[in-house]
Amino acid sequence: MKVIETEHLTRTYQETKVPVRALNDVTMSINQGDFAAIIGPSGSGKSTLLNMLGGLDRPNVGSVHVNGSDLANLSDSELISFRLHNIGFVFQSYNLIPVFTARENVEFIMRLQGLSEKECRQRSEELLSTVGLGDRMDNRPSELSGGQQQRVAVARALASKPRYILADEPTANLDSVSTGQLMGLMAEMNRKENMTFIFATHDQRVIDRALRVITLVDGHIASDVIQDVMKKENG
Amino acid sequence: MYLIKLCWKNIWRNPVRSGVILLAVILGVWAGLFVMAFYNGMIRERTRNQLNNYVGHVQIHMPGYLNEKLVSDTIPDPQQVISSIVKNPQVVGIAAHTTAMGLASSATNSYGVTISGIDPKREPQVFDIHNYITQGNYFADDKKNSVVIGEALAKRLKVDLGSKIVLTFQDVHNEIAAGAFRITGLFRSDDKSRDETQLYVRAQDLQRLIGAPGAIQEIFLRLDDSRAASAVAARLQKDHPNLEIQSWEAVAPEFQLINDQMNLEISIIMGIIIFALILAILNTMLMAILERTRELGMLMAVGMSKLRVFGMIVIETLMLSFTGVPIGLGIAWATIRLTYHTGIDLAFLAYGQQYGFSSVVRPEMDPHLYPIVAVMMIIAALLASFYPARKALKLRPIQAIRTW
Repeated sequence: MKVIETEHLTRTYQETKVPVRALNDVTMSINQGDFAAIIGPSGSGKSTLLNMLGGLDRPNVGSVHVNGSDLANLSDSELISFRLHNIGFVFQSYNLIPVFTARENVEFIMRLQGLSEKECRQRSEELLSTVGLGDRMDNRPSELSGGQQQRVAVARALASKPRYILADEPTANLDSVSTGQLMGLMAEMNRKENMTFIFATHDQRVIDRALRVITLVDGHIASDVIQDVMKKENG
Repeated sequence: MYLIKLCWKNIWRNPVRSGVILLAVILGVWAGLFVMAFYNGMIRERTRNQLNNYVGHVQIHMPGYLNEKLVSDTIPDPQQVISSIVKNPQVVGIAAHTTAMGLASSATNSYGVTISGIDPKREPQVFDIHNYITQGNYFADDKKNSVVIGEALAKRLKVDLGSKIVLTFQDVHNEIAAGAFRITGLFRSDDKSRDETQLYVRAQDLQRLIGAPGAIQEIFLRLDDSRAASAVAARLQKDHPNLEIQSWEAVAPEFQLINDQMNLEISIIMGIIIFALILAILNTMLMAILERTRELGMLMAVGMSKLRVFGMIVIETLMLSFTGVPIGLGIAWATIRLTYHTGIDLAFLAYGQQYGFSSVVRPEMDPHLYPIVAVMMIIAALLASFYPARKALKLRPIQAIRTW
């Protein structure tokens, strides 16, 4: 089942002296359960594509359809609500709320969704236990390692029960061990829950674990390759 | 509730900065209230002193008397007037004066004075000058031609207790009359200018010299509540249409003028304090937003609505105020109460007594002004929060988080 469909997606930045076309006529789709890496050299349009898929930016031309809704036609406030209920975000630099504990960071998204305190508490504890932080729930981000913070960010992204999770360079600030743990965790989520993950990355360790690799060059899709499906089955 | 929790935690991210702004709010509230109470205390004390020493609450004269203060403008049958007024339950004291404008002369100097001929037994019902005696006594014996004068006048005339002075004035036939009086008492009130120009003799001594036994030009009333003066004066005026009966506000409009002037000064000071507070809060919140640009972008990216972001900044600002304002109010209340009881002695400044201000200021504040000041401060904080909140609203998540 297709979760996201883009058609002739084009984004040109006019803010610079010389207009920069970051995405050029990108037509693609993401399916439910995809574990996809968007790769390419710097300036190839990875982050721009991710911004479009996340409803954080609007295309000049083309459309992004998520379950039938064209994100380009939604107002700013509709987009915010859309993101809250449909998309999980994992940021390169974690972007946790520093004054909240791990549990509160995870609960926060659910509270925005209007869930009760009890539901939020229960689910946040489940999620943090799932990401291996059951014993660090009451720690603030500053008391956690980079890898642990990124796992909290994954738990937060999952908290809203999104249709898909977007992650931009999620392992850029992590060491090998943490990267391995994080990718293992997300792969497990993908396998067990059929959760859709889309990464923009340079990291070969992430690319190696991806089941689908979309390569962007100069704003075009240069290749879209399904990797060894055995990976998925073997975890 | 969750937003409130986040806001509370946010304001303590930088405890020093929040502490400084909190201190500014506390000091601002305290300073604003204390300055108001200080001025208020000064004005009220001055008004009280003037009413209790010289003006009374209600004055009764012949029409037009206050324009020229002629000795011949005597109240007809003053005892009958007094008898009718004394029945009024709001009137707690009556003093009748025989008054002459004249010249006090010593061997070396002369000075223009108001000579009040009084009944020393009745006078304390209305006026408190007897409490300000510093030397001698207040008509304690029955000696003829005793005079009680202010220390300031004694200094001008270069006389002391026991000295003789000559009082010169017009009698009821517009002839010059004079009498030698011996100083039996010296007083010092809070109004130096009055002390220089006001002296007291027995009424019968002055009446004899002006050639009109029993003549009374002025009747002063003290009421149980000075604020009722206008209403009481109006009522009495109806009963005595041939006399001019005026409240202290009508007799001494300068009190209201000074009051208005002080209120204007207080408003300006409060305005400056509030403006400074707004700038301080504005600066703090702008700094906070600048530091949290990325985080605010993240919050909007993950689905926090603009209204919530706006509300978060406003709530954070209000929290700083809601924390600071009650503390400021409490400290102000305590210091005002304390200084009201102890008084603030400004005698060393030698300022204000020339104009009737007491050297000891007792700050006073009407209780209903506390919530008004609190609301003003909260409104100021609310105004200060709008610009930073609007700034936060204009952030675009994609720009705020840049590379995620």
